[in-house]
Amino acid sequence: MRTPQHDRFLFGTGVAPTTGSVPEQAKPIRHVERGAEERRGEKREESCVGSSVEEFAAPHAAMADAPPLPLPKPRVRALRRLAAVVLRYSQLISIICYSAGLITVLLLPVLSKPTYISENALMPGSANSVFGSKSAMDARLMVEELQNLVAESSDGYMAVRRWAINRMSAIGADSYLHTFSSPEKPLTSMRFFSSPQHMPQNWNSTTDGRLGVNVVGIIKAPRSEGNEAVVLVTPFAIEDGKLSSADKLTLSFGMALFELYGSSNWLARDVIWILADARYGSYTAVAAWLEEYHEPKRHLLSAEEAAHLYQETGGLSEGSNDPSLLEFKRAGFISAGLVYHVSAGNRGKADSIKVSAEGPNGQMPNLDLINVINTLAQWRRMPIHLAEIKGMRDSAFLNGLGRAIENVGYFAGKVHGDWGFAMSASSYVESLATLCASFLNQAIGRSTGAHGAFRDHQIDAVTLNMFASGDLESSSYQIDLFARFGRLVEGVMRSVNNLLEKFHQSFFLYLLCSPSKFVSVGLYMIPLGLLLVTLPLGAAALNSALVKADEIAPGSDSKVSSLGATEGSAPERVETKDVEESMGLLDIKTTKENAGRWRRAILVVSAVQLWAFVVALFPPVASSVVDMLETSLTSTGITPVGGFTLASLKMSLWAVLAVLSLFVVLTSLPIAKAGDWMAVKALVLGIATIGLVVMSQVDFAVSLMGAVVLVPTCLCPSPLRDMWRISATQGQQKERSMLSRVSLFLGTLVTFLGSPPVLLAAAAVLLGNAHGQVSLERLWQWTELLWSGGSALYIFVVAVYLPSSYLSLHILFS
Amino acid sequence: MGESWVVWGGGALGVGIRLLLVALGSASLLDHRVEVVSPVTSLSRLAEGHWLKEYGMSPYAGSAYHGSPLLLSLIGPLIGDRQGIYVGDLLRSCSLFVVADLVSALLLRSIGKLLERTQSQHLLQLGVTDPFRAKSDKKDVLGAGNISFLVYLLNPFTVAVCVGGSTSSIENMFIILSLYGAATEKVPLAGFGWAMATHLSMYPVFLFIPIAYLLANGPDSPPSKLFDLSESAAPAAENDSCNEKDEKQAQKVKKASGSKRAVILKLVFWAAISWGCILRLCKHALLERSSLVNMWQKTHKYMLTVDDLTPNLGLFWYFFTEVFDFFRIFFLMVFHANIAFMVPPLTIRLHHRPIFLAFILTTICSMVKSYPTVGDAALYMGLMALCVQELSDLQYFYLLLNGYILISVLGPVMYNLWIFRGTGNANFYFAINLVYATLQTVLIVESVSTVVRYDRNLLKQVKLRNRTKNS
Repeated sequence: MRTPQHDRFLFGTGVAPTTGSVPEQAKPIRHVERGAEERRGEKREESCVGSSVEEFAAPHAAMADAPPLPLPKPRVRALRRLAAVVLRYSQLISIICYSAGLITVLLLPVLSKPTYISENALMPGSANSVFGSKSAMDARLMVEELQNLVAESSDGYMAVRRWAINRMSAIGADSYLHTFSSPEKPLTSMRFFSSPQHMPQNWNSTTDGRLGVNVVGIIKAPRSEGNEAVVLVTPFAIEDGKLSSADKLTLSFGMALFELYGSSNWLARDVIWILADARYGSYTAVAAWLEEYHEPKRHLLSAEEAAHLYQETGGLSEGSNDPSLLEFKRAGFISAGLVYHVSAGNRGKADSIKVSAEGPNGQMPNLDLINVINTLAQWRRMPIHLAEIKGMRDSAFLNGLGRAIENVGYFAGKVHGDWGFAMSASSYVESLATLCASFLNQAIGRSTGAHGAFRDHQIDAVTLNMFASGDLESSSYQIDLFARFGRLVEGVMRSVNNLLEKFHQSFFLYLLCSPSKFVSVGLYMIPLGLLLVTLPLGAAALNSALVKADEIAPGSDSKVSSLGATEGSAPERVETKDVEESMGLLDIKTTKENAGRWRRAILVVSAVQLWAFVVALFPPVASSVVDMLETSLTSTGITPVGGFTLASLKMSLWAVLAVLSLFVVLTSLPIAKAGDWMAVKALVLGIATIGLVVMSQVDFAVSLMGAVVLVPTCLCPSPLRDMWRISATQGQQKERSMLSRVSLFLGTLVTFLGSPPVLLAAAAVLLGNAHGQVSLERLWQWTELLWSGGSALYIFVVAVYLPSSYLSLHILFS
Repeated sequence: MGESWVVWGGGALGVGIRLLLVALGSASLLDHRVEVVSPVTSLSRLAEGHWLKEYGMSPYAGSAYHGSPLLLSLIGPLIGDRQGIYVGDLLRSCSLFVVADLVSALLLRSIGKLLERTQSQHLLQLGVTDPFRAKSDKKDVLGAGNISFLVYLLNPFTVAVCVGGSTSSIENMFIILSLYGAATEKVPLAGFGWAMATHLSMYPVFLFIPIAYLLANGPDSPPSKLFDLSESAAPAAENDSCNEKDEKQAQKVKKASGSKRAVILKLVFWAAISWGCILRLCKHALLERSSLVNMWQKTHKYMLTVDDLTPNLGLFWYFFTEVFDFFRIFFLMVFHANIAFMVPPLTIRLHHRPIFLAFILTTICSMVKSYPTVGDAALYMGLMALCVQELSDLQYFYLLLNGYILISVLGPVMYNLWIFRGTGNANFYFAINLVYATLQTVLIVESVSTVVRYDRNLLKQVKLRNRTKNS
């Protein structure tokens, strides 16, 4: 149970409990209230601190001569006692858990485990590669051919399409063109979760060149029934009528591989190759194709529209006027996807492969797919790496930390052989940089490439970004490059081809420290658990404090709130309390007080939560209002004022709307009574816990980052008013009030630091450069980005973080 | 004044939210959610059955429809093919459910008002002051009836079920109707409501017990032992002002006990008559396209044998996907007997509080039901609000509140992880179902112990009063 000292610390008031005021007149009815007496007995036993002992002793001693019923010895269960101890030190435990959680996050690279292939059927590297120097030579020839074709043609895209279709039909593969329109402008509709409509609604509105066209080739596997398929994707884009040399290499390389598969007899799955038109980004192209593949829209083209579309796609001329080219063809269930493209790397460094795997909202492909690639790359001695945050390697702090960890590992090994671990400082920092990059990508919730589109359809896919560091135009280098990358991709294909079922053996929930080291869900949930356990603990402590306050001072809020209880009114209250007690109403009355407090708190919290949901829906409104204003202004010939860009206007309008609606909400709330804040805080803690737990299932990275910010913001606040009171009245207990004053001050500071305006300003400073307007613009762009991607981060920020942190401020000023 | 504002304003808000959600087209979002519709209550299936019937086939052909033929005739023409995109169509198809919800809430309100009246009467009779009617607090208290009205109309679960294309609202309405009939001693109404409710969803069959007690003994009251105690103490205190009144009321209670048997026989009679009428109407509604036996096989037997193992909020689907076929019947009996086993002890302990007993039985049914939805939760939460006075001391309220919020958010997320993302599996979702079942268990256990404690408190107070009088 709780000592008076602790009470003060938690309530932020300096009153000693008024328990002692239970007078002796009440004794005739004592025996009836045995339950209550027992409870007090318990308290007496446990809170053996100073003054309260005599206070409790008084009624007890008075009882000794009267009772017709013997007073049983109060029995305290061990579990209850333990709970009481935990609640008593809840703040200390919270601080320990929170710091432990943060430390565990930093230790994740040390705790990560090496990856292993758990699906037997994959058997990477068990067959010899067929892709040899001949295929590489073919690819090199194709580079030249493609270059010439694009240079001759007026429309680069059409040249590529014609080249691809001709080549594909030459080896007997099915081929067709898939058209899609540009993605919807973000924030034009209120739909947050629905996928954008890629199929053009109205053909006439799509002006020339705005339609994207994917070329798709399908090889039917000789040994299968055609009910399963693997998808290869090579994105390309034409800028200024030219195909970049990297894209040229990508396409030729892809075609060489495709032709190889066309002639191979080992395929057990159909191969679909998509030359993704990346003019709106490779993700859009692949997503549109996948949507059409899985959920075909009913669009029956009229002859006119077909003609228009045909013209649009280039007609392909030269006798190959085959209308079946526009017919969408399928090849069964897609078991895996592989996106690969060649990029120009740093000159002078070795060629390397970057693997990107983060899908929308932190979804990852099955770890086995990455394991296969990693195994093959290591076997072929090709450097393989993941994205990492650039500046982190040079950070002095992290390097120092790494050295400290290295030393700890070394000395722990000295003490006991099993305790040691070999983790050099540089590898620690590298792992942490990789981990943080993967973490950030997961938190933002946008996929890092075209592979993310596959994840939306439960297909495992990764992107292999091949950095070629040599001279891309040199033919000998090209042959060398093709030969090495070709063997790798073919090896991955063979492994995937061997699969008997969908990928299911290995992990779906993991973080990568390097291609060969991972942190599994069982491990990374530990820091989150440590961070989150503080919230229910705080709520339980508050709840028990409320219950106790009601027990101690029933019928009035004197314990919780009012130091202003004047001395004169005290005896009266004692009398009324007697009457109440003699009527046996004490418990019920207390309950009622309590119920009223909870009711008001529930009202406040749900109103603010509702406000947050409404704020979440404002961006489309703000966007459309500003757009409308802009069109009307430009038509009347008035230019926008003072260099404000549209985006920053939209952002400010959103903020203004949010604040205005908050005022509307605040005016409709019931008048809070003193002491309500504890109930509000308990509810906020509950809501925040629920929000973070749910987020941990949706997107772990968001949840962890949210917990780091939200836990102190929600746990720390207590009314500022009480802080003033302490300094005003508690002159005699200087050192104690000093301690509580410092802790209250720190709590207030933390709450302010975690509040929306401060974080918003911090984000604006981080995103923008110096000018306020510029950063507003960046903020709006981020909002658009998050909204259009259906990001969990957006939901978290607006629906969980905003109400919780606002309510923390509310508590501060209540 | 303030009270009526809150109540009717809240009611209007509840209806407004429903209409707004319907007009925004949330039905298409909700009508395939396993939390909102079950195979038995799904409106999409009803539309299919209606179409089959119009087409001249048995509505039970295939495995689409598992509801009552009466609903088919009643709602079928109203909802059309459920493809309507015009607001008018949507509102029309939903209007019946909004009305059903409103009627249920109003009935709950009048039951609650009745309970409040009898309660203060009983407390007066016992000589214990009614703490909730104390003068100073009067303006602050809404009363069980109004609270229940608001809880039923504004509960997100009720709203979701009403908007999301499920016939649960109508089932709930009949259950509440039968309780209302019993509380106001309208025996035919009680019998009809009970027969209709059992016809629609079978599980209310257990509610016969609370309904019978309600008719025989009147609404919730403290244990009769207390009245005896206070009576025996009464002669000792001669200057007690309400002494005469006490005795009169005690006599009234005695008199009523004489006709208990007659009332129950009357209830049985009316229930049987209603059942007969319902079966006749069903036969008529089926238009010779299907037989009553077939109807029984496709409705009640379908619930009993748990043929559909689509994941839902309950515990059956997970278990019966795993169980071997030759154990199936045995475990079906075990699962269903769970409810039956709990009825006698609860009845013995709580027979003096029939409404509360009805709340507990509904909760148990909702927990161990073959195809539960949140509609069942909506019903028992409404009934729970009727007992708000006895339950005001409920422990773990904070925990329960947070638990219900948690599962209503985490449940869909886990379902999404399993079905759509493919990163989770059935265990993820079933874990949430287990949590839900645990929450309901905690709710049942805590509610019962709270009411028992409340009665014990009353006993203490009566004893105290006797002693103060004697001394």
